[in-house]
Amino acid sequence: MTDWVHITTGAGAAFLASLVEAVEALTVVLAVGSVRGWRDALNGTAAAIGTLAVLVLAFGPALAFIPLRIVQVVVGSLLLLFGLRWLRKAILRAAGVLPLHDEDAAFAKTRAEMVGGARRGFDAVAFAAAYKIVMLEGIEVVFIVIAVAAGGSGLMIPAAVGAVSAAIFVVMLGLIVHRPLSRVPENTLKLAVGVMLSAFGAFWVGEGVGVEWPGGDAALFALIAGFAALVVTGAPMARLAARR
Amino acid sequence: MRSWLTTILDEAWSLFIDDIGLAIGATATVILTGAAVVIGEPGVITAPLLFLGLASSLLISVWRKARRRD
Repeated sequence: MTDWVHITTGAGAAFLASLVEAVEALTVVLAVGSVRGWRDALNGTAAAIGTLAVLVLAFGPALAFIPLRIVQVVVGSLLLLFGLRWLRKAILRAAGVLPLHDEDAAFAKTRAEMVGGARRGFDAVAFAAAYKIVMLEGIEVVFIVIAVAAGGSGLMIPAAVGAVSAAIFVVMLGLIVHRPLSRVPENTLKLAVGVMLSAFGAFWVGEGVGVEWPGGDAALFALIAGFAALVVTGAPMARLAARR
Repeated sequence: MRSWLTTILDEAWSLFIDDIGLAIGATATVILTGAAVVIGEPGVITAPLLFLGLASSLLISVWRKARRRD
């Protein structure tokens, strides 16, 4: 009886903790896929899952000794780099300083290319963004499984089952919500992705350099709101600057 | 044929080409925040410092670009 309580508690804890990480990864993969195309976003996701599987098989519990802070600073900086650049362009477009994309034409072209599988070239940005987010969140899931497994003997398999169940649940969630997401105009999506990449990038860079976020992980919501507020204030400000 | 690494580096470098001020401002903000953590400033100081540094770098970059428009 005690064993079952131990096992179900371990699996449940791993499931819930992994669910949070998987949803974070899903959010960015969905956003990047909608803007840059699904093929390379999904390829990046698959490549990250493959890399993680190889790492887990090769190193196992030794993964716990990889300094997460270094990963957070490197990945966070790259996300910030992309995010701030997209946000800057989105603000300038919203202000009319840069021309808007012809969204209908661009969306139709992208969809036609994707449906026909005729999209030329490799979208390194979509691949890298999806790869990085899935790698980072995946490493955190591996840490969660190892931490839960350390709570008692025989907990490794229940913890791993909990984590894998969370991943499957989130993939199913992604299949349901990706279609409604594709109807949102591209410029709006780019703006939203810029906000999210900047917020996640700032959060991880902060974690990496040792910032103790007030409210813990909930600070992410404050960062998202903060960067969104920048768009609201930045667009009229850019309009004003352009008139002067 | 361009490798994917070249494309990534181009994408990252284009931020510097677009506006080096934004890249320098963001980098300086991260370094300053790290220094504040090292000297023992609490999260209620370092967290807003990081966000406000990034936010002001971005808004200054947007302002400069809007002013430069022909």
